[in-house]
Amino acid sequence: MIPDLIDAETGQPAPAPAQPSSDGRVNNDRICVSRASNGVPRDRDAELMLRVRDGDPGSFALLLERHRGAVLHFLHRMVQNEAVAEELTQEVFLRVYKSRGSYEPTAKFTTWVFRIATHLGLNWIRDGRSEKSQTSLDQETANGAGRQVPDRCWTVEQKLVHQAKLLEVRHAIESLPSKQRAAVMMHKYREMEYAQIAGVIGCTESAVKSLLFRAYEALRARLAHLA
Amino acid sequence: MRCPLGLEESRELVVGYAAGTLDPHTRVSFERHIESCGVCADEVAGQQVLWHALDEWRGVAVSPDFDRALQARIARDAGGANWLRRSWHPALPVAVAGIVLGLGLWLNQRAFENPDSVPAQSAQMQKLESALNDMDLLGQLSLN
Repeated sequence: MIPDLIDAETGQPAPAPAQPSSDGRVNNDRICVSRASNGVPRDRDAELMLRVRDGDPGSFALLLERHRGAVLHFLHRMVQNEAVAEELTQEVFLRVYKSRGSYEPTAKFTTWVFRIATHLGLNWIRDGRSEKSQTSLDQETANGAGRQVPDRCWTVEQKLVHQAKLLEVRHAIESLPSKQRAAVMMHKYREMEYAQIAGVIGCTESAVKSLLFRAYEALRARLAHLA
Repeated sequence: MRCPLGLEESRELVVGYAAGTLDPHTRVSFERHIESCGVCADEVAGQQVLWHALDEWRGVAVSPDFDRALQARIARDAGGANWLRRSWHPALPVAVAGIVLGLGLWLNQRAFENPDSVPAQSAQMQKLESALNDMDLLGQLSLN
């Protein structure tokens, strides 16, 4: 059954299922945090995904609402092209949905989702499309960084300074090797721990630390003048 | 002057301190260390400049059309899978197996009659096998 993300009659976003409260329970549709076979509590997202597996489209809509922004931000910073980032984000959730039948919570839900996103992002970069994105990077910044969440209190001068800084930051990020870039995106913007990043990238924790520290050293050298 | 901390340890502390992820006890210890270690103090200052610069890059907003477009993709994907299931008939694998068997017997017969043509016939058999494997794979995809 295709999840009702859009109300067919009104064309408006379908009302989201009731949000879980802080203890993991939902008023009219309880999501009790269950435990895996080893006794460790499953995360709430894993519970929702299990409900998707069991045929509940509302849970997929809830997962989408919780994570699409984060995945989009991650992919946008990886590929530095808004249109491509949005397309890849859709691909991520399409794959999540298609995999629902065989889903098993062997890792955190976010680890799984970001593993898919990283895989797609790295593939896109590897395929050499980053050269074409250079034009859109500059155009996006010239146009005010596209749909970047705006700060309405800025003066024109502040906006220009911000855009110039932003362009430098984006160029610096783009100059990183793709795996270092992915690690920085997850560590800085998703605040993921080393172990989780290792699970996403598929390497050891010490390899992740090495990736990150080399990346941060390179970025510090390149952006030191922004102090 | 060299930092008494190991390189990896100091790097981890510098990054954690700038990110604000150190536990309170470690943070206080490291702050005391920075007071007397110029190397780490410089690293921390540089990392904090970097952290603030990276903060400038805020996320893009999700487009208003995102959910609708995703729903359409899911529907298209489901429609493609349905078409594959509709076009797949249980008798097809049997029919293909029969054709392959018949061709195999015919080729064997020709090989028996003309041993010199074996290499070309072998290539033909490989192609037939490959086609049969493709049909099997399509069958598995349709079941998913």
